[in-house]
Amino acid sequence: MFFKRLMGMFSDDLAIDLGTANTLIYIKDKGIVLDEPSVVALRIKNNQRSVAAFGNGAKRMLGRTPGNITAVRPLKDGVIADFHVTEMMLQHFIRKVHENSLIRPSPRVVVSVPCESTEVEQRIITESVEMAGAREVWLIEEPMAAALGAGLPVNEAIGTMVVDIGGGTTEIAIISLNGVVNAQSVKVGGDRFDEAITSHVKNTQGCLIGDATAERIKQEIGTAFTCAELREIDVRGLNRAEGIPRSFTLNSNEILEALQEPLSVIVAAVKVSLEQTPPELAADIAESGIVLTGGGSLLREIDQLLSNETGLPVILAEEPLKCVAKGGGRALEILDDRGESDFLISAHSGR
Amino acid sequence: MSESDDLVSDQIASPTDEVQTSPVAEMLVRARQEKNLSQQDVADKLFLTVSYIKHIDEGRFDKIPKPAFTRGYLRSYARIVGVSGDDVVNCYDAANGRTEFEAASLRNVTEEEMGAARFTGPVAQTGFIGLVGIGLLIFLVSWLVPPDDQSSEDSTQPVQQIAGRSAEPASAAAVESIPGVIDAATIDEPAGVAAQPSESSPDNSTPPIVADDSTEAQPLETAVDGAGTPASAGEDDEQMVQIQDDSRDESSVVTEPLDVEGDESNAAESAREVSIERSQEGEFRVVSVLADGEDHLRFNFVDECWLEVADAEEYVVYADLNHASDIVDIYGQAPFKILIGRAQSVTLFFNDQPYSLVPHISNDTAKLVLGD
Repeated sequence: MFFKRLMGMFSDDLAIDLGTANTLIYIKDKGIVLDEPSVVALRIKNNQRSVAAFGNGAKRMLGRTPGNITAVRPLKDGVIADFHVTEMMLQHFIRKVHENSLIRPSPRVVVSVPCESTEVEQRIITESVEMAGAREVWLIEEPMAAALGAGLPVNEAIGTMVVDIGGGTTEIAIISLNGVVNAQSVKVGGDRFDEAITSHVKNTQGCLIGDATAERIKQEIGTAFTCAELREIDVRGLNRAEGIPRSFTLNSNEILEALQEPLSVIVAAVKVSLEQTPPELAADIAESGIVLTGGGSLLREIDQLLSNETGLPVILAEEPLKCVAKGGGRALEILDDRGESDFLISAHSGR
Repeated sequence: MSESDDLVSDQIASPTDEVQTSPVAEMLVRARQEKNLSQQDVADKLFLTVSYIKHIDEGRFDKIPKPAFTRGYLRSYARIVGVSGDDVVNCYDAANGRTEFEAASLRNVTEEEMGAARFTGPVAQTGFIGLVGIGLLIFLVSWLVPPDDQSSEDSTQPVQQIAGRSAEPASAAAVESIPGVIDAATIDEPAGVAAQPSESSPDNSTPPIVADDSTEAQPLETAVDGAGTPASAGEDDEQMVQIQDDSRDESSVVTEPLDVEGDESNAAESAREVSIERSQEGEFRVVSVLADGEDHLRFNFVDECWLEVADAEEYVVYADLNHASDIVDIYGQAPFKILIGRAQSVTLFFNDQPYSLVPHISNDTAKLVLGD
């Protein structure tokens, strides 16, 4: 215990947004120090797995690997799908942010978890972070972290609604007085948008495209609501009938159509959440509005869609991608200042 | 909303327009009026109450109940009236500033920037404590090692005494042949004298001091040799080149006994005397080596580099580390056997003709025989 504390003196406390698509690390007084895709490239040799690349390097390999390398995403739907790879990835990232440290880092870590994650899922995340070198692990619910990171007045007796659209899940929560009043989590996020685009292109153009291309289409012309400006993009994909690569053009209206299904799931979840909200808080939300965070909120006109569907004001948080990590960091600062924090769940893997 | 309503609302807004100071509000109101939208229209589109829009238009952002939402409202408003949301928010931030937390949390450090920020906070402590730890370790080691040095120094003393005793007939002459062992009085001399055979006698009350740790073993062996073969200085087979580096600023002439690299065939030969002259010419340090010959080698150094030159008789006439802007002139008899540690940092002239080192470079080192 004493040794751990001593080691802790040489480590910066971290807030990790362990997301399906991206992992972000926030250090107090420094801000976001790491923002990399949650991707690991594994090299398989003689039935043994070794790591070929992490983060950005590994993401570039997605879908472009030879037989002995596989680029994997160790998180799926907001939770850990491959324990050992997640552990290796976290270990790498924690060391990376402590690059100049002579001693093995042993930080206190706040990790965000989906609000409807089971005890088993939470335990796996805790264990994974502990195995990666953390001396103390705290968990924070993603929407709470997102609200803190967006600078919302979570400690006041005012209802605030946060919709955090991540890579694997969308978290919807109504927050008041430092607590989550009502929360919903649906397994629809940026990844589902990409899948919808891939399947739309397959059905309409008869072409196969990879995840990276689908993501590029989403980022460049993707829209969630009809807008005046029609955008176009040239894409190359493998024609299924001819078996050769072919070039074709897509426009934003096609993508809007493709995204209808996953978007409707999010809209329905927001509506359900609003229905379950106590009337006083609902009135607060109706007055101030819904706040969007997460990478999915960067989809064009998604605020317009939610606004039209709910009849409430919808605003986009500043730097939506970084809200959760910043919120985790804020929670750590509050813990340091006051010695306790309402947002954090103390977690021990029992090891 | 009818046009008359628009006019009314704008007329109501106009007196406040005069008193408003916020550039954000001005920007938004102008854009809204250009689009012929009333405050009510904007409020309807944003699902906000008209009072919020009024507060924004009047620049009274403090009246908006939840300040955390203000930027979001401004962005939405900007989009409705066709202005860049980033411009509006930046303008708002410039006018109102950010709260302490917002400013801190928005101070993002990208990976590239981490370099500059890395020596801060606990990380710095780690680095400094680590360095202090290493420093302490080095100090401890260096503190513990001297007794060993002392013992080895002590051990030289009896050997020399034995040498003195066993070589009593040769007496001073035998001891004079011990190179590298110098009188304590000469240790402070900056240059030249270091390599000279010591004048000290074995009966001298001052214990002889070894000039350099690295050459310590050699004189010791030499001393034993000297004891075993009470020969004259001229017939000594182990000799060494020792060049003082701290003579950069002073001119001096050194007569150095030479190491023959253990060549047995030369054991019987007499020592070569090579004169090395060092002088300062402007910013250049010129080292002239005179080793009985007419052939001239000149090395111009642009960077730190080790140079070793052996002449026709395979005597190492020069072996030293040179620095940038050094010039080494060697007069001797060709062929010269040359070893250059970092060939990139040297320009070579042989009998005043430039000589290319490129064909001889391997792993940045050049090894060649010149004037064969």
